[in-house]
Amino acid sequence: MKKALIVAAVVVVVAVIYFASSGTKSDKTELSLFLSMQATEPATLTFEDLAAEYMKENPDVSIEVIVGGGDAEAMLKTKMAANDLPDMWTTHGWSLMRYSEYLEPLNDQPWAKDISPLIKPAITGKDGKFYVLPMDVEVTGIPCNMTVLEKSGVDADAIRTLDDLFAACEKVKQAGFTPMVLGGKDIWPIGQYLLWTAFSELVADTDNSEIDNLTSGQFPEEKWVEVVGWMHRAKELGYFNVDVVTSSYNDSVQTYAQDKAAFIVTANYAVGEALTYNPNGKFGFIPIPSADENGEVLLMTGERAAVGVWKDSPRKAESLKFIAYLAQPENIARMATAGSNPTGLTNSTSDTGMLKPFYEKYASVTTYPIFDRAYLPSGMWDTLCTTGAAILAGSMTPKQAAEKARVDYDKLYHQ
Amino acid sequence: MKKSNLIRNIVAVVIAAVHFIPFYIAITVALKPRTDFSSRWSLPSEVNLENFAYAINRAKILDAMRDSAIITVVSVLLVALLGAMAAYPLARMKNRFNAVILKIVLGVMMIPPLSMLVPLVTLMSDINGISTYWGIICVLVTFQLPLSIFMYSNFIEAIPRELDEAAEIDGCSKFMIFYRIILPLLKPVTATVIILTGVFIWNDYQFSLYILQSPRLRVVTLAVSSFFGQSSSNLGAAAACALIAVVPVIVVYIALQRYFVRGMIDSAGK
Repeated sequence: MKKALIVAAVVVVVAVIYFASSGTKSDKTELSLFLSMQATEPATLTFEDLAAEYMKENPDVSIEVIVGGGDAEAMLKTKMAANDLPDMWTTHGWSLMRYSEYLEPLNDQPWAKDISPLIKPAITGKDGKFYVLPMDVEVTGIPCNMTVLEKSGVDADAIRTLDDLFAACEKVKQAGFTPMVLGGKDIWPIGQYLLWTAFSELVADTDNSEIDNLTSGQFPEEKWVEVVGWMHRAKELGYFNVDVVTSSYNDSVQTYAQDKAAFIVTANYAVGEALTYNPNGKFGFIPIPSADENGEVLLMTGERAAVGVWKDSPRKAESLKFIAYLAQPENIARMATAGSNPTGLTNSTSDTGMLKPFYEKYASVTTYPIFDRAYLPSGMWDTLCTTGAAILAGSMTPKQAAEKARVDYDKLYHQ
Repeated sequence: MKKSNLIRNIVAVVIAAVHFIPFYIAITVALKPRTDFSSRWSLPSEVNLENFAYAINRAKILDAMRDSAIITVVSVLLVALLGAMAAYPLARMKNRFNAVILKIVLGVMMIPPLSMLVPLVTLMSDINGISTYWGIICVLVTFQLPLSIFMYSNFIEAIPRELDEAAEIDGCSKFMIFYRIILPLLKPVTATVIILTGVFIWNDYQFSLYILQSPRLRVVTLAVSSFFGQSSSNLGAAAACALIAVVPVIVVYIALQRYFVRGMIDSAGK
């Protein structure tokens, strides 16, 4: 026992001395770049490559790329509360509403004049300031599986209204496929579906748009019954996958990739993900249809690989230099091509691969910022997801869901 | 073979099979390429090691295992040593002050650790403890010590006081009584403390997630989770990562199984 004690004490002393010296800093400027992505995503690999190339060109700088993975959001929230943030981080759609008070405004950067009109409204605040370098643009239409649509006899170009979409779903169902696949276990795809229908009901009919009401504190409860009603109806008609509540987003992508479902409830990035499962698949997207025949089809745009700089970072100047490096046209093109997305700056172009003909076809379609981030108070996303889940589970009617949404909206708007 | 033995063996085989299922699924998922849509129950038609390459090259699982091992060994040693040292006076000197201290220690066990996450991260950041070995070890030891003190103090209370008195008559100081007389008797409960805290620290995700942020220092749980994102995940690579990480634990457990089981039985007997 005595021997064991001595050994244990020696181990602890040696370990303490070793670990105490493990934090020794090098002479290099050490920057941290936090990514809200997983390790094998193309965007992660591209960020790592760009950081490595930058370090090669600037031997006095060391960049630590931190892969946040699934809990990236929780980590960033905690770090915000502790006011101990990384030098740079990707904002995953929240540069304005969540992170703006921690981020350095980037309006005076040389590349600011080149920001794509596709993304500019989504990242610019009411005061005209923006806080991120948008390397690419996340476009939200309705991703579709062209093979399934073809086999079901559906003409995707003819889908202009939600009624058209549901008619297409009926044909797909009759052909023996799943019309819409939704991974409800991860809950956010449920909110994503309601973004589509909210967009269709409240924005797409431009003559009766509710944007002004929503941004001035008036919640259109009656119209919201219709918004959630589209989810209720799809469920009742059997247009969702049978395991809609218990399957994950990952499961839904696999179903979509295997030519078993016509539409997947998510954004266009699902196509890139599906291609990793089925490189021979034929995928595309359609714009979000209107609820009304007089309305127009629309697309939503938001941040994807968008990087901001912590305004209180002790290494702010060095971080801004790296951001300037990322903003070089060839680097922007690399990042956007990796995600098959349009570029966030107009001075470069990307290869959007399989989606290229679709982006060309819908080039003239009007784009709006992602619905909840632009027109709903912060925190309403959770309400969208939970009320939608309650409708899928059959524990809420559309009227009850709309009432709950109105109560939450009023509370959050006046916070 | 007797009928009762046969039934017992069948039940044992069924229980073992149920426990093996997660490993089996992990093996089949890890050995299949992403493009293989066959059932997770079916074996791969050909062995694909790409996911293991991801686990080693992208998640740096081998480095993570080294870091996890260092953190676990040092933390467990500290928890056992400090816990036993703190428990001895609490168990032996029964006065009102020590009773209050023991209650506070028990009370601390009831506080959900994550409820104090923000002040904890702020504190660790202020003292430069983020992404350091000593930072995560301090946090883990702090949160595991109450359990250790509780178990040691209960065990020491069952050791006859006459041993202390005899040693005192022979001229031992309090410190010597603890190290020469009491500590050697704590082997059974130490085995239990090592198992409980060792498993908790090896599997820890919640503290490591917030305290260890640098890719230069990451533990196995963080390595596995790096393959999950909100809009993308790589199940095959995560399964491969988990399988690699579980190997040393299985080896250590099988090698030391005899001691662990004996320790737990002795501890329960007391």
